[in-house]
Amino acid sequence: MANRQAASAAGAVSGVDPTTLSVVWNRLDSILDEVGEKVLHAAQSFVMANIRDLGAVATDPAGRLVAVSGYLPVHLFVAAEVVPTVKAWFNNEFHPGDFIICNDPHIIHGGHLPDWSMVRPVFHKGELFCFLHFKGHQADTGGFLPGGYGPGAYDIIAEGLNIPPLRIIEGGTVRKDLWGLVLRNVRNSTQVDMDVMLVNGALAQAEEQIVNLLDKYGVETVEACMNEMRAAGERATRAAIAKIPDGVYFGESAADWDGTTDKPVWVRVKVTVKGEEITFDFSQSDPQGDFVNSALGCTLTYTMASLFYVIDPSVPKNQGSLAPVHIVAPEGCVCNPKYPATVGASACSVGNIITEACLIAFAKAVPDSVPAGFAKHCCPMNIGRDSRVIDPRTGAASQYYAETFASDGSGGALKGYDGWQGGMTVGFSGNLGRAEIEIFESMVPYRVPRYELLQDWEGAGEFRGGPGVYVEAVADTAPGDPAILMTGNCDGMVIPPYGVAGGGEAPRVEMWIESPDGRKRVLRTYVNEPIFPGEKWYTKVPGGGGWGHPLNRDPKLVRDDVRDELVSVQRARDVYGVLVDPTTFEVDQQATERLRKEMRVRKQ
Amino acid sequence: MTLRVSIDSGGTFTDGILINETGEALAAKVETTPGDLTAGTIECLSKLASRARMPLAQLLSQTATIVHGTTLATNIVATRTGAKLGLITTKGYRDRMTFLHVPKGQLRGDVKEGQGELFNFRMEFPQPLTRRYLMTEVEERLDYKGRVLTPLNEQDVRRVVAYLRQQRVQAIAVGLLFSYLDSGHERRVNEIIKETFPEAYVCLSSAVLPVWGEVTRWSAAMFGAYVGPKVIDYVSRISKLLEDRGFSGELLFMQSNGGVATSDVVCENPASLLVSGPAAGPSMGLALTRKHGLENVVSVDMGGTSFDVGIVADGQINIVQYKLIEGQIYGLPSVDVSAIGAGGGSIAWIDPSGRLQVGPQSAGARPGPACYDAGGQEPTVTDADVVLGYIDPNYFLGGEARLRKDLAEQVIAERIGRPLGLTVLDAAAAIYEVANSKMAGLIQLLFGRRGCDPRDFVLCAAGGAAPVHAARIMQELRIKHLMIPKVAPVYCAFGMLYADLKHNFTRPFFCETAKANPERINQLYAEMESQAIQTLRKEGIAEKDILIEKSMDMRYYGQVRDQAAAVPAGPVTASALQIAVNRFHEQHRRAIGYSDSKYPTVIVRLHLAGVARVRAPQLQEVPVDGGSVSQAVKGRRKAFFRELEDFVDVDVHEGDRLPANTVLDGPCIVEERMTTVVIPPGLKLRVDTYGNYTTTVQER
Repeated sequence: MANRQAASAAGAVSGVDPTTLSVVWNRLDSILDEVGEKVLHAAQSFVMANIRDLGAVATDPAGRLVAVSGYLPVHLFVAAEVVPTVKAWFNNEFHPGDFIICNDPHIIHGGHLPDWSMVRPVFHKGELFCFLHFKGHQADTGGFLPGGYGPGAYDIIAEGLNIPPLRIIEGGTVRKDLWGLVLRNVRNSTQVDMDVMLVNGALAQAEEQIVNLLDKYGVETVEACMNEMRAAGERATRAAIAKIPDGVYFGESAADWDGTTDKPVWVRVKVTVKGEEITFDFSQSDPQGDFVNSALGCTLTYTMASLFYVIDPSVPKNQGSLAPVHIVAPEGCVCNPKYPATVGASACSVGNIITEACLIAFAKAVPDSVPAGFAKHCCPMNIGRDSRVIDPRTGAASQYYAETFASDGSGGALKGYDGWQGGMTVGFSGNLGRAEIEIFESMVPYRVPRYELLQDWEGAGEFRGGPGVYVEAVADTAPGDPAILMTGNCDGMVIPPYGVAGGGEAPRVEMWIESPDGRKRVLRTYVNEPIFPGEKWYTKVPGGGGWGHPLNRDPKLVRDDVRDELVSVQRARDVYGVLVDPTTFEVDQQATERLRKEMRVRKQ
Repeated sequence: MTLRVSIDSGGTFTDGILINETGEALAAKVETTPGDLTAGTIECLSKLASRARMPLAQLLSQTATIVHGTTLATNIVATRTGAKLGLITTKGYRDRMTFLHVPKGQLRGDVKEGQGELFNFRMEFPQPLTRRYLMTEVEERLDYKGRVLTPLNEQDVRRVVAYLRQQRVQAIAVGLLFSYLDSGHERRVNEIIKETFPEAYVCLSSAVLPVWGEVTRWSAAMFGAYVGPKVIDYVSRISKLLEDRGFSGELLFMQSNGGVATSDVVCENPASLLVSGPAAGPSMGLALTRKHGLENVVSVDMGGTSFDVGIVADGQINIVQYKLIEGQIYGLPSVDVSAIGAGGGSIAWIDPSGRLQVGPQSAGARPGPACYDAGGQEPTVTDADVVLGYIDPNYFLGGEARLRKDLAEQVIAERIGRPLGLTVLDAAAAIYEVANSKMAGLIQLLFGRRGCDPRDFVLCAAGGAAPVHAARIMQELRIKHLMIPKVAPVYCAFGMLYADLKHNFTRPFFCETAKANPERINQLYAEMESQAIQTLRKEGIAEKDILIEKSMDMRYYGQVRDQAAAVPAGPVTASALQIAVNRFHEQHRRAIGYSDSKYPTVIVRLHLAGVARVRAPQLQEVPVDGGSVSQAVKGRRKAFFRELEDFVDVDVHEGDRLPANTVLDGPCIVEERMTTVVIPPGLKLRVDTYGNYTTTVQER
């Protein structure tokens, strides 16, 4: 009875009753979550394990996104580009137990080379049913610099190993020739080997669970559910877009430079909202340069991120939500580079710039829903070899590649909420962890003497950005061992985090190195800088931008910030118009009201 | 002194159990009194006394042990009413605990609410347990091998202690970098506090949880210091109140590790009282299912707001060392119990994509479900259960409360039926199924994480709300055995009587397994063993009654997270070590889907637990010839079953009158005083020797 009635109900367009739909949907979500948890638990890649740089999705048989897990966004929506490409590459011929890896940005349009896509076709009773896609940042991917992700590569070949869709496991058996070739061309291959194999193991367990689901509900029903999930995603996204006022909105932001040519790299977007559809046109963006180019799948992901930030958070995120969205990015621009462009900073730096440009455009349409600017990703990567430590996996000197994730700044404010402290970049959206320093220092020959919040480094506002972050690290490296700071993951020296609705900007990034003899040199973004034993590196990364005018901030909150030494007495007065007694921390209400009145008049 | 008592004060109700020598058990339920928890505790004891037809003083004088589980510490954190807390850290690290150090997606509980949270910052930042101006730092530094790089600057310590004293903090947490390798600096800081600010309650991170990873370790110290003063106050007041009323037996507290401890020991480590309530569930489930020779059990407890699940594989209670409490990492050992917002009070709603959802919001006890007629305007799981005929509106809590079915129907029709185009009945059925599927989803996820197959397990379903849903959850998970304990509504209180005295100790030991020196390992185990014995002796346990359990956390070289592997009893030899390593590989393969026995492994830390078994209560047997089934039938009512696509008349039995070995065919309903068992068509319900209900799915 329940089924029959529901089938005729208005909402059930695909002929699935709402109960079964909810059950299948929740189950697919939790199956993907489980894949993420397993890999997170067991991975060796520093960034996958310590900061959750991974994500899993399920597509339907046609390769369209159906369900995504709650991990790093950049690893999720990109599957919409990757899975169809892999299907076409193999003429849609797969066998049970196949496992495919790929990263070639000019074939799959994913992102930077260390982020490997891994695809496992799911079979039910011998028939291909759907695909599972996992993407995560591997410990290494070959190339001229450990990590496969550093500015200054001559071309994409130098940047790292380019892997077209490669069936390294066929029918459950590892193809030792192919996989051996890959492993011979990456550093720390024992790490990469185990990490990739355990992704396959986790996906195989997920496949079993999907098969259980199919056994229970039948292929047709689950397919119908998948169709309805996409349809629900599309309906909800269309309804959300319809709430944004029609119009053309422009936004722009820039990466500091591309590591080669000393000028900012601009991403410019024209956002056209018309009824239930939206177009993001990146045609006016700068032409492709070096290193910072964003592969198309990455552009898609970071564009969608901006939309998801401003619309109802519960809108389902899958292929359906992509349907009313159009992206124009001519080949050869920084948002859709041509071979043999390098793509090292694709996701971690320029991806954020894309989201930022789009959010700046949205701020003109729906300021109440737009977060202020987040600090950009900024945390020098520590790369090198430590001859004092022998790695038992290889019998050779330890080859390390890690970052503290301490330097990263804070989030931007939203109407009603201050920015999250240590919330990191807009692209990470608070979904990364922060590595424990005791673990970092035990694995890498660096010490971190200071890891602090900064006073007066937030974007002011009625809701303020999170505070800035200050970090120092000392190289305890051995003389003669290579040691490099790679800052291709750092940005924000040129364009600061923006404010919204009268909120203030946050300051710009500062980084430098100090030698034991006291000499300082500026550490720029997008360089590979050698660092010598005993030298210290420093980062000052801002908090987020503010939302709303600081003169409208609740004086009690300003007082709390002064009490907590996040805002100085002087800044409380000069920027927030609040007079706080430096010893009692009492607010002088009347004087504050007077001062705020004056400041408002002065502003006009 | 032959009586044994347990008191479980939970968020809403305080449950009590009284057991006499012959195993006869009496139960009581009173409302928890959040203002002064001692009041509810004493009231519960009084109610037990009146059930036993004796004055409270007599009951107390005859009671040998009282096991007490309390939500006190959990509540202090949830309501942020702990001590005014100061923190002393290594120079450069005062802000370490204020960064977002857990992913946003994990903040809302054990299971993420899906991708809805991905881009959502419209929520408050998870604030640490104290303000930044009370977080201080002192000059000192060790390196990652525990070598002193900068000696402790005692002047600095005196300065910050004077400052914290001036700020009138009540408690101080001390967390210095790498103190798990050498606690000298932390101990010296403690001495200076004792000397210059003796009123302050102090927790050292190296004493509370000496593990690798500053956030996890310091967080434990902060929890301890934050709840410490109030916990100690409560423990001493309740001890005194009981003593004054004639109690001279032993008062034991339930800890998060599933074991109990005396009040002295609890006061030394008050953070161990956090999340202690649900910790009794898994051992209770195991004790009951063992009677049927089953060692694999998934214990679920469904109350008003939450659904707690613990998986026990091969008779081993799983202990975890990572849990989030109010957005902060809790690294002390705790029984592996996960919870989602799904209970009788969970609210059904329709999300913007038109999907029916249940929970995590709950209507709580007040206003509660719409059918409580206390102003509840949202449809809840209980409302659906009433509409479907599973719960008798006239026999809720044994008739203590009457429910309004019409209100339940009205609100379900309005909020769910109309928008989805479903009849009231179908909408109620949909709420019931979505709730079941959500609960099954959590269990499935936990099975997946543990690498276990649900088909090898028995589902032990307890809590007031679970027996209505359990059979469906069993079917959804393809679980073959179901047990609904006779004591389902007071499950955890009962479980506390089964909890052993248990204390955990840990030592960091970071070493490639191939290079590990068994002598050093034995030395560390010996150290912990003597600590364990000392603690248990203090609790009056003879050395011969002490069990020692050893395990080690291991990982593949290069991994950052570990799995615990049990270490065989006796001295650690090369072959004993190999057994532990093999267990690690096997566990890794099951949990992750991959292992490599040739890959180098690392030992991360050593664990030792000192356990003193308590005498398990004798369960009372139900007479086999205690009457006939027909005498137990108290009536018939209409209930909905999806297989039959309609309401059908089913027999309603009175649980207390069913003789042992009774077999009932589904569909049927059995009413207990505080819960209702619903069995759908196609299943058989059996009453076991102890009055528990079991169902077994026959292999086809």
